[in-house]
Amino acid sequence: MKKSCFIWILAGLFWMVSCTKDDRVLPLPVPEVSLGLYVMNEGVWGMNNSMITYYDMSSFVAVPDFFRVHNGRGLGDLANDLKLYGSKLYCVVSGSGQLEVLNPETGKSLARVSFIGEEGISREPRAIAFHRDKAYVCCFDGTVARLDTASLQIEARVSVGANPDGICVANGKLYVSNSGGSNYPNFDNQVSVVDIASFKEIRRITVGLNPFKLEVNALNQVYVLCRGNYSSVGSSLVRIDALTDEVSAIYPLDISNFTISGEYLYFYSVNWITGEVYIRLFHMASELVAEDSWIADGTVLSAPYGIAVDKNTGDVYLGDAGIEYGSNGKVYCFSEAGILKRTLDSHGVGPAQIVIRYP
Amino acid sequence: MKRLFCFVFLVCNGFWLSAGREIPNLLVGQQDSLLWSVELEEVKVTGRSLPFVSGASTPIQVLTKVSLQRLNVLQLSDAVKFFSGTAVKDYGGIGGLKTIGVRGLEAKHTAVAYDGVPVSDAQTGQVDLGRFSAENVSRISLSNADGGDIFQPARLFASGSVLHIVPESSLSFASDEWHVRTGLKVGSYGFAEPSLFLGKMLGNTVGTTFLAQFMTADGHYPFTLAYGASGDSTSREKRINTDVRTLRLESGWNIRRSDRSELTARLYWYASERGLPGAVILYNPHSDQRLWDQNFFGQFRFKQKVSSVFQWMLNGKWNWSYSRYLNPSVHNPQGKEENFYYQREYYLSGTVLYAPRKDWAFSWASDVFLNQLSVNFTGFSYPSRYTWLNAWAAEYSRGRWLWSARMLYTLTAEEVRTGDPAPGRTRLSPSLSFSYRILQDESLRFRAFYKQHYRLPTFNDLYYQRAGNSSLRPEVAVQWNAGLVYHKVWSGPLESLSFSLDGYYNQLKDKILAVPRRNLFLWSMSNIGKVNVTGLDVVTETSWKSGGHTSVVAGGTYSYQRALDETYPGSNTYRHQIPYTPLHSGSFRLAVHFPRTAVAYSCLWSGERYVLKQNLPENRLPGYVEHGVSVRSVFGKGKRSSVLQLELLNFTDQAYEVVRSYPMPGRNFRVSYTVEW
Repeated sequence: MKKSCFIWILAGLFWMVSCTKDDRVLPLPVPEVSLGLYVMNEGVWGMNNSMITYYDMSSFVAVPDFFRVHNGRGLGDLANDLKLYGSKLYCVVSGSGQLEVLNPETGKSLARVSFIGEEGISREPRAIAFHRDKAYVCCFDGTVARLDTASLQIEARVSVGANPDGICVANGKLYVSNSGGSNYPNFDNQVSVVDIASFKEIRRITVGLNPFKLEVNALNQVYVLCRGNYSSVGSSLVRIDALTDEVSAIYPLDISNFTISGEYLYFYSVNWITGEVYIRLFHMASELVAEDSWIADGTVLSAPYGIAVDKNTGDVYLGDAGIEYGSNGKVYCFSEAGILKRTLDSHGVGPAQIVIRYP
Repeated sequence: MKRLFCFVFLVCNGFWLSAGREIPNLLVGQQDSLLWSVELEEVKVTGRSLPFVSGASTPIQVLTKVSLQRLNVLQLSDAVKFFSGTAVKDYGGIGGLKTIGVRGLEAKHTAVAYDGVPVSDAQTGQVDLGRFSAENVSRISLSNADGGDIFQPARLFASGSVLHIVPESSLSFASDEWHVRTGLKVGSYGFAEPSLFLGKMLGNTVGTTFLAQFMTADGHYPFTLAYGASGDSTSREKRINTDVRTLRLESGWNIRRSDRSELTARLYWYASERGLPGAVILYNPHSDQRLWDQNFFGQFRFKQKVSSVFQWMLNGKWNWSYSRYLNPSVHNPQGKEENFYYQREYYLSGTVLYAPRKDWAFSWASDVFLNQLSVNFTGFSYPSRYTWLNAWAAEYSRGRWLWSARMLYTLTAEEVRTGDPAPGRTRLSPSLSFSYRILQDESLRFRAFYKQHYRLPTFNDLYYQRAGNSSLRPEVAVQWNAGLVYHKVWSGPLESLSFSLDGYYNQLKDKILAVPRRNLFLWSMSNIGKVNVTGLDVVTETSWKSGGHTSVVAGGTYSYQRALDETYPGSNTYRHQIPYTPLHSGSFRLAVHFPRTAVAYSCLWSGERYVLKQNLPENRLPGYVEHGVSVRSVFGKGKRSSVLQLELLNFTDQAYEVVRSYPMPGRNFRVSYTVEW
């Protein structure tokens, strides 16, 4: 206990030295050490058991239910997104219709932003993205809300398409995936483009059925994961050129989730009929997909659920929901070469988001 | 005085009398022969009067109307909690779903029979006990395995246990005057329930009953919302969207031309509208989903004793049910989700009983039924399932032994309009039981049974949007039981003592579970689960009499259920206790009867349970004890009488949940006034 306190203080000092007080993110130098790991566990619907687990990355000692132990109350039901921006950690809790903003070090809540709309109906916030001093939260009710990262107040809302389920920022614009997930089986297939300056929807780009997660690479290329309809239409990865807002490539891949790291895109998929799980690398420039599994040491995952890459070390963190969904998951840490370095308990159900804190 | 037991009870001076004549909570024998014929000779109970059935080889627990009145019971689900070995899943409030699982097997393994004919729901496979009122019930019983009777429809052999609900019959009424009972119950949270019951014998052969019952409640009960573990924040909230209204109309008919044959028929109509309060979600109190239900059935039974060795019985039923589900705040183009479900069942069952000798009896029951489900949305498969069940049973009784064996043959065929139908299934499932009289005077017996049964996949398992899997096999359950049962009646102050202790081992294989398919957004049902249950059921009851006018009845149950999930060896849930199944639970009840007043206390106790498969502290629901007390007084004399009952429920204001995020009501009360003539 004493030891971990000391590490905490040390970590805090590091952070204070290396970070500006401004919430605006300035281009940071390449970080040297990673300080902590936040694992967001979705939990089970109706159980109010969304949890963040914090791992100090020097000792890998866990603080389970990091938010609750520091605030005397739980995160709520069905956390869906977790991101660190500036000096704040943002957790989008979809089922509870709120955004929790917390101090990443102390775990203390800085603000609880409610997304309960008029008539008391939740807007169902899903995902968050940032640009300069603003945060943008897309909600299943077809809107994107803009928050000031200093005041943590919602300033404006813009309407986009049906049931946005992913958001990212590229080339001064927001890209919002309109999943249409509440209108099963008639999913939507478009990405809304919102101009950040005017905060207006300027375009809709047809991608594939049921678009979900989006990420942008250094070349202003936005990759959209389209999940298909889970039966006749399979999943695909679609590339949007953020300079022209045109679809520049469609890759029909069996893909459940992905993340971009440098030149590569890591993606995974699970075949539930054969039980086969694979994690592969996609080289974005050459458009080549590695044929072999990226995991080099034969480690078998049962249900990969979240993925993140440590920018500092190149380590890849994979959340695994486990074969028995509803029980606590695991987080696997692999080296860049695909060798398992450590296995961590996620201390919660469904480790969907993994966030790394750098100095 | 030809009056049914319960009316003896109600008519003033029968009050204390009946108390002493309490039917034991557990039975050594088949309740019919033991209970009714001994105590009330005038009451002719239909059913065979073979002498050897009074020594059932499988556990049966019974609650009579008198017991129910003492248990502070409104819905039958409240009463079932007092049976040992049960796990009632109660989502709280009057409108909340309530289902009964027995001995580690979930509710889909428990058959419910209303007046001897199975109640079913092919869509969900489970029956909501909240919709049955205790108002016109003469008794309920829970039989593990096959129950004590081989002369019954095959369908009642096809499940793990059977909950029998026996409504009041008209055959008990004297003369040809109308027997009227009308009453009003009111209680906390806007609860009111007026009811009217009429019964009449038309001549000596035809009897009829009518029941009309309306119930309304707003259900806005307060509860403490916990924002985390103990020591974390709490707030005081009220349950919302909990209103419920139900209307029940029922009519029963009996035609008995002689002691040898009897026709009974019943018409039943139930309609309800309710809010579905849903789970209490932190920071998001919104709740506006609604459910409308309607259910109509007509059923009949014809029984004939052709000779001293041969009886036969025909049962039939037509059931129609409708439910409408509305979620008015969905972020889709319609702004809502609205589903209509219609179910139909056609059921016919024939049973013959042949008892060529005093010590042998054979039966053959053959049931055919058709279940259909239709909906309002496109792309649904509109399934029809044809089921043919045959049960052959034999019973042998000689000296101290009673043996019973049965073989059930199940055949199903399924049709759908679109998609793939589930393949037809044929299955054979045996059972065997015996009891041995240890003491000469019938008081102590040893009993044991083995039973295998199949649980057919429900329509939801097979055809539910996205998740359904039409290639599912039936679940396979095997039950073993061994126990001792003691029952004795005396004429001294200690009137009766009953005690039973049963140990059991249940195995469930091919349990149907939802598992992710292809990716975690798409789930599907699969036969992968495996559960092993080791348990112990203890049931005891005793009655005492003092000075001829005061009597005391006390009873208790204890249940130990170690139900372990053995689905994935090596996983973090392997051999963990399955969700919502307490390792220890029990109940206690005590009633003191004075000539015109009775005071009753009851309590339910449940140990901690887990809400998810992994037995972690954060998945634990704390145990609870719920106490209730009631006072019941009878006024008036002679033909007209009235009863006033005051009930104080959960009087210690215990805050608890049976299902996570569904808080139960705290301290509340009910008052009822009933007039009868």
